[in-house]
Amino acid sequence: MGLTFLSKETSLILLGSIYTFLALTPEVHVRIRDLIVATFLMALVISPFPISLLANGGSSTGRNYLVWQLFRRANHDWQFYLQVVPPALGFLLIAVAILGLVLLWREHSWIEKLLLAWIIVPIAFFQIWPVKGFQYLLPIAPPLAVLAGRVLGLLLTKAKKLRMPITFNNPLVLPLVSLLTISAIVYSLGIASWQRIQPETSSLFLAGTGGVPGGREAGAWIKENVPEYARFMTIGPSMANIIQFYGERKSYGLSVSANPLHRNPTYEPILNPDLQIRNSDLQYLVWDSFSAARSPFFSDKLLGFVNKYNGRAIHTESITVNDGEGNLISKPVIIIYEVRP
Amino acid sequence: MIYRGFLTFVLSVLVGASQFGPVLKDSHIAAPQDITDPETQTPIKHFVVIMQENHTFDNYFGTYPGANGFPDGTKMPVDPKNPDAGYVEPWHIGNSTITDLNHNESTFREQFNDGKMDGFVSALNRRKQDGKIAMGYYDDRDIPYYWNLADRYVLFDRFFSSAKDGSFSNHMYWVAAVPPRVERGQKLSDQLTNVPTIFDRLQEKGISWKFYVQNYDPNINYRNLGNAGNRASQVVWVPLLNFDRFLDDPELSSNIVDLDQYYVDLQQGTLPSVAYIIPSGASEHPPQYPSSGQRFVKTLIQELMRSSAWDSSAFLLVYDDWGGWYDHEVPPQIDEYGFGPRVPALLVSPYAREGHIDSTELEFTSVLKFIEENWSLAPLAERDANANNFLSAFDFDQPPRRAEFLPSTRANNFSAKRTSVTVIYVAYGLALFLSVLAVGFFVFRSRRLLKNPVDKVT
Repeated sequence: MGLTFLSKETSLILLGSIYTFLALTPEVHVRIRDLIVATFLMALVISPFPISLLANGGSSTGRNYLVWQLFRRANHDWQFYLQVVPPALGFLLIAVAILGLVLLWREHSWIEKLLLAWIIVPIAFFQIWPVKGFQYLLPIAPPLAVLAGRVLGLLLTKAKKLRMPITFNNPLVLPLVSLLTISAIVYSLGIASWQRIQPETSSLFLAGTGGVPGGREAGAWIKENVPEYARFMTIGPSMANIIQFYGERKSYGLSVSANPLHRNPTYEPILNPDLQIRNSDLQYLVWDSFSAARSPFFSDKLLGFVNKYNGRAIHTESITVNDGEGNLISKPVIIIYEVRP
Repeated sequence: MIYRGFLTFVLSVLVGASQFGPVLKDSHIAAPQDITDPETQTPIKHFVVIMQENHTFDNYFGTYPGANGFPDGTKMPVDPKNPDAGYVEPWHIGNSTITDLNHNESTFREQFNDGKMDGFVSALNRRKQDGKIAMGYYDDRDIPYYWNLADRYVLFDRFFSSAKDGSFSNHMYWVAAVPPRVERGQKLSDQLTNVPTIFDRLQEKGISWKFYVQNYDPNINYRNLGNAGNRASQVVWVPLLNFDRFLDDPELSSNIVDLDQYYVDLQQGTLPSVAYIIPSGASEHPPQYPSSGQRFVKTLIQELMRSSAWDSSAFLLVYDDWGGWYDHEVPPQIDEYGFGPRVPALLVSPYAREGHIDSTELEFTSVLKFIEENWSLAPLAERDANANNFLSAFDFDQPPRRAEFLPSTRANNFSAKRTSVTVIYVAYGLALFLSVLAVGFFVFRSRRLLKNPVDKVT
């Protein structure tokens, strides 16, 4: 659990899964001493998180952030997970997992209860929580895969009992199955992982799935080519975060509300951007296609400042996309403008 | 005080007649040549200098740590001849209302008081002004950007105004190393015919130059001041507009341009070797607050910093005269014209020493000295020939510093928060190690229990 928390803080919700599992499975006995030791170890493993925050100037913003996230308005409608998660996991996998639940439930094994608690609790919590992100339901992928795998195992066992030709006694079957399994793992993990660390080739972007197309490259360019302490304004906070992280320059999202009730407390609003540009306190504006698609109003507003203050495009990040007619075209996804009063 | 200085100047033109300061005999006006950028004696290929208006060193940096600012216990007698009249101590101006303090030559004489420097309040009181204002000062609450520049680049604390007089005299020293003295019965423009300027020297050698003027109106020069109104200051602040050849010769006059051209030149990589800049509205001339001028200078510096010229540039900010403000340092009297009181001066360059306070004795002809030595030009007059250079403010052994967009606040940390990656790697690495250790221990223990069930029982 400690390592899970370190990978994503919201995984703390899996404690609910553990509790649900233990509550529904009286045959699994847990000693108080073991619980104390496990809790202590978990706290120890989690400790790098607050330590890193403190070492990097963290403050009480985190607490405000949690409160705000609990009560903020929803960022997606209730159908979001239904729309994005099944295609990402694979409909076949989900169908097989559900089949497994039906077939295996009669065995009254603790394994199915554990897997079910592991899946249901995060789904229920994040469905109710107003903040919806693709990554929040990633933890349900392993139990679904295990469930599906158990179904395959069950089918093989049944096949063996029915003396069907598909049996591990056949000297060709075992190597073949092993090869197929290894190939599938290499394909699903290796290829996907390799693709994730490559520059984006799609201008479409789903919050929580990784980087904004061209964001890392734009940040690296800024770090190398823009004067120290330059200040940026972007359409929204996503690109502002990217510029701060990769470009190491202060950046503000134009769409971040100045009203603390209407904004994520970890975001810093920009008060009167017009005045800040006139005072030469804001020197660069960044337009990006992802934020522009989400917030056309603020995109227009930002481009209005570009026009008003002698904006000059000094860097463009483009990606190669299909134009829908089979042609590969270069599409600008991030444009960095310098402005001056 | 530009208007008084300007009036003096106009009167001298009308009345005619006087003489120039000593001009070197070998100086002459050269025919213009093709413009190229020749070799320089230092890595500085582009020198930009701006002259703002009317402040003293103590007025802007009197409380700057480590600089030659207000001495302890500074207080100015209201009447130097009557100690019972009381004293005025330096006071922070902030948002208090100020006026344009008188600062002609006679005011200086009274304030200077034969080197006693005790007439700053009384001289103004005698002129029906509130002398207390002269003891006011600004600090980093009012001019944070300038203080940030001082922190990161070079602050000069012995930079004197060349003339103990107003704007026009000092601007003349800035371009020609001589004051504008005309003989009775003659016109200033006639006198200037034989006065060489630094731009003549540059033109002669084919070195590019421009005189950038904020809100430049090419129709305003010494010949048609009638309708100029307040814009007449353009003729005072751009002394070249009093020279016939700089008005009539297109090769020369085309180099006097609007400030917009500065930004175009920076963007197109065509910044000349030598660039003079004068303000219009954002001059910091009292009763203006310094903030608008500070914003203006900030924009000029930032645009230079993000241009291709930055790596080989130097930007010097100076102020034309003391404006009637107090400064404690006694200005050396090297000739009948000057020096006047110290003025603020800052140097920004990729080769500037970091956070350096330079105490070399300098004046406006030191600007000429730098240009002349850097581009191997002959001096214009005795003043610039004898002036000190400010090369001590540079460190040419260091690689060019990266440009820094300093903020308009005095926050200690104005950069984006940078992540301490080492702490994260170490802490998370330890957590991973601990987890592996714990899992390993429990796996080992489980296997032992499976092998020796007796242990479990006991």
